[in-house]
Amino acid sequence: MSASEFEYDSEEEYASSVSLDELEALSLTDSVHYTHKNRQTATGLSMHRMRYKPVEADEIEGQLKAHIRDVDGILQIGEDDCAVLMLKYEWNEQKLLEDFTTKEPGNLRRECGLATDTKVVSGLVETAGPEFMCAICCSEGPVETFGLSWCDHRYCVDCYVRYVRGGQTGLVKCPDTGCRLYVRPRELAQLSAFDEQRALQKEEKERQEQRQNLGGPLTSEQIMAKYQKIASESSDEEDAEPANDDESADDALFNFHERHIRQQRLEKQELRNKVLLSRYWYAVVLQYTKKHARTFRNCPAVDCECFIEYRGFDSDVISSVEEYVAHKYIPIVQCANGHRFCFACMSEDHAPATCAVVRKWIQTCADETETSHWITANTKDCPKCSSPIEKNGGCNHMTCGECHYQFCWICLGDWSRHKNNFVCTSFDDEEAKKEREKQETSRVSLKKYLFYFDLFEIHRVSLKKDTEFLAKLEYKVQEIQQRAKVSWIEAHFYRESIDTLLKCRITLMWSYALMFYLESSKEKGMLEKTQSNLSNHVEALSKLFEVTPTENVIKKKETFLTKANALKTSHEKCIEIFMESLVLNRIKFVSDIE
Amino acid sequence: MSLPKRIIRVMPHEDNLRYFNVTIDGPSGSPYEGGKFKLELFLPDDYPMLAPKVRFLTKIYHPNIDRLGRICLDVLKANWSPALQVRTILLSIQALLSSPNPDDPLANEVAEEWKSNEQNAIKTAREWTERFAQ
Repeated sequence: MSASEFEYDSEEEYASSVSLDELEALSLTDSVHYTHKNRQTATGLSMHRMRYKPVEADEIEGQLKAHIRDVDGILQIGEDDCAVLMLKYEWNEQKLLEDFTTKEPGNLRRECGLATDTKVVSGLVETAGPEFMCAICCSEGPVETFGLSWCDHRYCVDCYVRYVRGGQTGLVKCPDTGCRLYVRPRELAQLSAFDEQRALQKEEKERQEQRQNLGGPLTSEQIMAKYQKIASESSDEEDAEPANDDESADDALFNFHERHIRQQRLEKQELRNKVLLSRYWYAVVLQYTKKHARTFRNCPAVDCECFIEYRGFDSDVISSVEEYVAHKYIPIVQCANGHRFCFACMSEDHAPATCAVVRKWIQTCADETETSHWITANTKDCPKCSSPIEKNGGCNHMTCGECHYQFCWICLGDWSRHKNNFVCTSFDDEEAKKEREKQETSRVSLKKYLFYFDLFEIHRVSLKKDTEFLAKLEYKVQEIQQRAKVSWIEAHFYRESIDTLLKCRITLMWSYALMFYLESSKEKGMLEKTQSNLSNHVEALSKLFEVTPTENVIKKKETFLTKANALKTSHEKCIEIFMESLVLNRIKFVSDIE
Repeated sequence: MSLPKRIIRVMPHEDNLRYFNVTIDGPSGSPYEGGKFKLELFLPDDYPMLAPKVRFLTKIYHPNIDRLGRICLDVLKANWSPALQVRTILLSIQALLSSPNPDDPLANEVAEEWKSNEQNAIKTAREWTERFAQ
């Protein structure tokens, strides 16, 4: 397949469906993605799209290093000093160059925590004698220590490594409180190399010990130690298992695609965590992206170290994300690990509800207002002291528990007018009518809320359950796949179907939240139809997963593909129709959402 | 020969050795003079990579200490360094009592009073010391 077939800039070609494999391959190349697939909707309206590019931390790291090199080309002070200066100036190259030319060099260096003489580079890592005591952990020498040789504040290597790891920005200050110097990448590299080498030596030593142990007969202590090691490892595994399940439940809102790239990601992350220097550069990348939050966003998924780079819009009308959102567009992006999230509000995929609706919905669900709705719907206030009263049986002759006022439950009038007659005769009373009307309206809005909330909840719970259920199934399918000797690609349809199902559930879920805020109209009726259409497809596929015994999954491939494709088409249509209605302001919101 | 006057006392808690009961004497020359201020100090799991958590238990009228006893002090936040110790932190807190900084306030009302009517603020601080910190 030639690269030109994946030309993203030509819309027609992108419009052909892109499978997950292809997406994966594409994310590795320098391709630009769009927040939605087609420039033109089925009805021929042209929509604005946001351009973005999923990038990984290493890519940004490379760019930053190149940037530092470029700046150093002008300053000529060495890349390490330059890196500290750029971090200190928060990547404001202009300001740095200006200060560099106007300020006295010594002053600038002092202000930015750079030593004026950094030629003494020997002996950063040194073994300190017994007179040494680490000021952090108070352990005494002889011990390996690390310190900048030009300020000579030394701490033991363990403490220093932990200190650097804990750093949140790329600027690592000498731990001494009176010292203002920064540890540069060059010195960190030495610490990192030492740390790595030590870890390797430790591993090697352990391996040797193991080999020695294998040689002769084991002593009872060795057997005990070995047993304990195995026992603790297996209990670790047991502990780890449910934790993983929990995690998958929490990740429910994210794309299923994650699962099979997880391995790669973990390996990469492990390496990054292991090597101090790459951990440091990740902190630098984070600092840079936070500073440039308009362009770069860190994926909000737990432990995901991917970024999204904003690449503008394919229209001249819209020039910023804020404007885009104000037009009721929803910029959903997908990171290299397959997590889908909103570029504007940084929450998980919430199309077709707009960011404002999501905010309001979450607030509504969390607010006490709905509790008070229940109170108004199920209780009546004592006409005298206004304490809420719930009638839990008995006759209509009420006596308030607070103020002992006696009244009629039906008309809320004074009981004395009812004499000893337990049937209310003052039903047409003006006062009573007003009370009832008040009650009616609150009941209607409560019913409406509960209706949509239930639907939202049903899908949220289903989504969670589906993820758990399907995750278990997937491992079974892997087994089957191995037994039946079908290739990974052959069984890939299964993962793709799961992926589609979960994605659609999220869409459905949020569409209900959106519906709650829409005024009844013809357009809303149409949206509801689209919604129920999508819902039917979702249920059909969900059912198929449920009824198909695992052994038959491969055989049923065709059915799965048909259903999944129907769902996919329905989903795309649904998203498009909702977008059209929102963007063209064809539907009205009941209350001012902003 | 009398023992030198102890100014800061720190006792670890019996049940939890990460938890300390602290008493700081109000520094002489400040409106807190003569007061004994109780604080609690806790060393979090990541100590010394993270700063200890310190809080006043005694009510105090101070622009950098709020009603819940939380302290606004740079070395407890951004300027924490693992090379600092409990001793240095407590000395810094004592120094904060000697020199309140109403320009970087935590208790806004107190800080405002401190800036607009320092005499009055100092008077209130002295009264509070007598009322709560004996």
